[in-house]
Amino acid sequence: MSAPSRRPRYLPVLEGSEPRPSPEPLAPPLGDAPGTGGSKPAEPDDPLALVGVPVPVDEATFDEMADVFIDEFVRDGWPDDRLVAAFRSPFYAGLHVVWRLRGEAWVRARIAAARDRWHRSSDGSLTRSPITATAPGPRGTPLVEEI
Amino acid sequence: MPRLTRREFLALAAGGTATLAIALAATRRSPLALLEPVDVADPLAAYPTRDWEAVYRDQYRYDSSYTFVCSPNDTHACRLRAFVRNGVVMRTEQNYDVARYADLYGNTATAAWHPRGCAKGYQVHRRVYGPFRLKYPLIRAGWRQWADDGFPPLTPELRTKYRFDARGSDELVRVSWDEARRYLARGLIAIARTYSGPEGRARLEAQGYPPEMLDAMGGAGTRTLKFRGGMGLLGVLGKYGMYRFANMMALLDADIRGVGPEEAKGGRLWSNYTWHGDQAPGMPFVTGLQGADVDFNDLRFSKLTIQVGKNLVENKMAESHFFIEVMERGGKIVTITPEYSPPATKADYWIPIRPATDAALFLGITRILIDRGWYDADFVRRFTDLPLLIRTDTGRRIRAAELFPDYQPGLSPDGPSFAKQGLTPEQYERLGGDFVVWDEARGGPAAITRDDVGDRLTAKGIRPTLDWRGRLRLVDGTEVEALTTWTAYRDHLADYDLETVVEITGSPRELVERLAHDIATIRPAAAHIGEGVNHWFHATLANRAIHLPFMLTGNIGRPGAGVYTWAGNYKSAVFQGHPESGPGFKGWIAEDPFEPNLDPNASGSEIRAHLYGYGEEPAYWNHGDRPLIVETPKYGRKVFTGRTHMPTPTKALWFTNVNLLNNAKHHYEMIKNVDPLVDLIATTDIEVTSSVEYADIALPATSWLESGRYEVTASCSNPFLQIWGRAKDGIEPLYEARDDVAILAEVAKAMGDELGDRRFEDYWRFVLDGREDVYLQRLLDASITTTGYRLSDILAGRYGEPGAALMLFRTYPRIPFYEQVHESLPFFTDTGRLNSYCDIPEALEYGENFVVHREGPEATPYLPNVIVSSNPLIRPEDYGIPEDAMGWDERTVRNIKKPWSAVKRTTNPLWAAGYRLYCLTPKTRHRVHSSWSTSDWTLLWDSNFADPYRADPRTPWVGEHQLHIHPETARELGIEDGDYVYVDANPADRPYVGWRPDDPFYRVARLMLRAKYNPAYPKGVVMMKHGPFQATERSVRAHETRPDGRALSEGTGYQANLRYGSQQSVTRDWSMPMHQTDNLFHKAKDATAFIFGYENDNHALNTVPKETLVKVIRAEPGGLGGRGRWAQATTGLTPGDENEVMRRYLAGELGPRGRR
Repeated sequence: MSAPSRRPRYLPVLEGSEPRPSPEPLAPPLGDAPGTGGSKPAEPDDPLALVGVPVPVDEATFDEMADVFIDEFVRDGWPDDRLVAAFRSPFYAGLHVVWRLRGEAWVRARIAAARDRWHRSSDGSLTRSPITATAPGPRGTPLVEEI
Repeated sequence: MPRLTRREFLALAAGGTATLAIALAATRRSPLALLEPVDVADPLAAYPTRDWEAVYRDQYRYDSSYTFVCSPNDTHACRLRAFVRNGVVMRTEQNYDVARYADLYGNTATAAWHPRGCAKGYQVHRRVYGPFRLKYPLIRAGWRQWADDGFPPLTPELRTKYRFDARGSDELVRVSWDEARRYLARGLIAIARTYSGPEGRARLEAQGYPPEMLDAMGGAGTRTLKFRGGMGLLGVLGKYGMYRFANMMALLDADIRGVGPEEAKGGRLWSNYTWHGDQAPGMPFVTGLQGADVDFNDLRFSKLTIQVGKNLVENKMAESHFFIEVMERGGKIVTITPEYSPPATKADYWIPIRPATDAALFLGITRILIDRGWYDADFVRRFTDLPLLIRTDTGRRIRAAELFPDYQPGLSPDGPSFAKQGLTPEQYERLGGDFVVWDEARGGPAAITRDDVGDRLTAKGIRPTLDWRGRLRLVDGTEVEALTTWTAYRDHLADYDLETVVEITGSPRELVERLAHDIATIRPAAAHIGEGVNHWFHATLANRAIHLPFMLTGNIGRPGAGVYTWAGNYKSAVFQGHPESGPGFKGWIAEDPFEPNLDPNASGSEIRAHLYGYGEEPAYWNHGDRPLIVETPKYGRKVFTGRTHMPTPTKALWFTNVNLLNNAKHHYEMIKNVDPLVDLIATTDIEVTSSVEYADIALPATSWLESGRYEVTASCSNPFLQIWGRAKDGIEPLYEARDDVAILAEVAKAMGDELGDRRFEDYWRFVLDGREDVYLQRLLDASITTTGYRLSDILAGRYGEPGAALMLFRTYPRIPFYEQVHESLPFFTDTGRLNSYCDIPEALEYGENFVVHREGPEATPYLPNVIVSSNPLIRPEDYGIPEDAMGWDERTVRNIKKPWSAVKRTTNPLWAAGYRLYCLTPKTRHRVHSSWSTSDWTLLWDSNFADPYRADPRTPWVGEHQLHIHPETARELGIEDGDYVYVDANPADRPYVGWRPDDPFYRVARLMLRAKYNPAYPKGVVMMKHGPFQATERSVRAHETRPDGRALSEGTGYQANLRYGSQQSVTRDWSMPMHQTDNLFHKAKDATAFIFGYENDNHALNTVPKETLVKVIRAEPGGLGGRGRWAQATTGLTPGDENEVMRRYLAGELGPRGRR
């Protein structure tokens, strides 16, 4: 995987979105008030803040998220059409945001790579004997490199 | 476990099939595995190492566990078990312990209560550890400067200098606990001093407060200090403790004015239940009791369960299985709501109804029952006021002393009124004595007392006639026309024939008749009413009307029967004072601060209670900090707020466990025009709320999980006494959070230190000494419902789970009015009977002596506030206010009577101006009112627009609020599904008085949210759930300037749930006159006693957020980034935009059984 470019998570990357107008401030800027959550810099390893901890996110995060999904459902035997439909559907917010960010061609390419990796054809069927593909050997060593 | 090594596998691959089979058998694998279309037949057998599984196996590993009580304002108080690992609560689960709960006598609860808990309890630790905790004490910079300058009296200029009029953009600064306590203590002292005595009164007069408010102060500046323990039953020590603090202000008054205990006055105790609008305000009128609610396991006995504006599916989650059991046990379920609601989906039939016309519906049903003879005449005679005689000239019930020469009051000193219920001779005299019926047995009038109910009436040999009218000569010689209440109602109900009721309500005729028939023929029958009724201006009438069919059919006081109301865990009365036990709950909140009992071994029954404080409705603060006073054409200035209800000016506010500002109706009006005149706003909370955003002092409290002190609660919907805290394996408080009760005690001590008066800390001696158990034991001793329990026994698990026991109720399940019906005790009304009629002067003047239907003062297409009747015995006073007057208070008090035939030809000017949408604001499924608005999961579950990835940066957080609207209504307004819309109410005063389009604050205050097509709502009715965290000046600024668009306030970390405005942008305070009487006779909520007029949460001003009409305008397209349509609405799968396949699916035409 190529190194992702670091971009702000939300603003310019979505298709169709436009920069929002800069509004008039409602009030003078606040001072650097110490105190509660908002003003405290996030600590990713803060043991007490189990939820809502901001994690640095970039496009690679979405790519990995897509790969995980694709891997799971390719191995489950989903055909291409069904997988792509999930990405297209706005009801699947996580996949859809990837689809919007990367486009359908990118999604299809990742699916194809997964099929190759897991020996699955586009209709979901196996193209090789499973044992050759997945049976592992001792930790770190492929059991069967080639049949 | 055998492993298949690489070497073995290669050997197998080179060998024959038999060898392979043997080898596979040795590894417990089938030789057919190679033929199966799976990757690995048995991965557990094949994998070389399973160390990785520890990750999953350890997911639920924990080091220790402990129980706590999840005690939000939802009435359930579920004991949950928290599992701790590395000092952090990893998860919570229900404790499955209720079946072991026992009482002093060995009774135990049924296991059928299980399962308890809900999805809110399961994520409570996410709030505890969440990023929105209030971590440290905060103080507003401008307020601190005011304090440091010596608290100079606040002129308009100084209010601006110290930014009292710009709290939302001032800075909140972290301070130490010691500083916070001292500032708060000094602030309370200074404010009380400023407004005490003649000089203080002059200052308040100069600020424009009316004399009635100043008179109510009695010269004490402490009366301008307002305290609210938010839904204090949820934690009697820490939350209700706020009222003990208010009572302690008498010491401050004594110090300032130099008065003794006999004249000293404490602070004002702000209400909860009534302030939320959650009380069924008509209940004290009918039964004399604050509210009636049953233990939820009684539901399973009902054979007919009617939900009237109640949603037992979504809003009683921990206990709604008892409602489901009605179905399983062959009962019938009826739902009455404007929309096809969640309970409607479970109902045998759903009666759709025009909002706020429930009174008309039940009056129509009542008429059917009477006309067709479908009533229990014996019950009506014995337990209702319907046989009592009324004078037609005055509308008053005839008193025995008016009719019978030399009549002597008939109540026996040994009878239940005096001996059991605490009636005093003075109260008896003020009631006017006894009543009169027409006795069939003797063919003439007969006197009856309020004790003469049920078998006691029978024992007297009196058989009251129901239907009688005639003339009577009174002892003063005058001759009056009289009739029974029954006969009067027969006349009255002429206006509520079926045709008329169908027109008023819009309900299907056949279903109205069917419900009447079901109530008449199915027993036991129960009605459950909720905010869907109680949040309307005329809820009092609706509540009274709903009782009528149940009074006629005897469905009161029996298992499975009754009329009950559900909204909020309000019932301090469960810690009931009684002569046999002591002052009950008042022994805690109102112990005499001049004589605190410092003996740790003293029984609670010995505690001297003296309430120096006085209750008050926050609704007056919410009403521009004014009572209801109207300039009337006929009488000039008229005060409608009863003397017993009269508020004082609000100059200091301290509240805990409540997001007071978010809950305030009209709340941008509060920020803009009301709160700038409040000198101190202090809040104690666990999280950063909008109330923190606009506070002068914010104090961080512990959550239920972190309680380092004992705390106690109980419930209006179950019989469980729940004590928790000081858990052996519990977690430590996070950050600088402290327990509520400790905060109160320490601030009290700080006040004493400032004044050099040790009595302040003595008042909290046992809390400061770490012995709050002393106060808790006293509470148990002093309450008739817990007396006999030893705290140590409960904590040791003698009654089941440590910390739990059963309240000592008369019956399990607790059934309101069981004693009245089974033992012939009087109801808690003036007549001792269930009252259909009300003859107090206020009711007669306002035209509500009979139960009538009134249109609302705002939410109506017709003449606002009109009384629908032609009954000559209803003689309301209109004060000369013309029909076209549109002032909000004028509409509130204008009483005009018209028959429906005339009403339906009238028009509400607001309606004519285009405000034609009713706006329902029910509770959300996943919040408890506004709490849990800080949970990301809540936002995700709660919204059709949830998106954890926030693809659209306009979203304020991971989800956002939505307005449900019928697709056709939306389309007529040019609104697509998912569009952002503005929702505007009456522009005369909303979102705040004096708004201008170019005011930056208007941008904050004007409500904008997503529109969601929902055909479950009728055309003309929109719905948005109440309680989302409002937009504030800081959150809007963040939303408009942060790159990611989140509405996350800088400096405080407050996270709004809306981009702009709030559900409260369209509401206002409506000051209902019938909630403010001085003459209603009813039971005191926490004592075995009666009162006239005001008592907070009992007979008091209920707020009514649903009383509004709105206009909806498209603001922005729903598509990502504001372009095009909301993508989901283009799929063909969403309501209102269904494609052909979806339509066929909905029609049942897809699938093997569908029509092809």
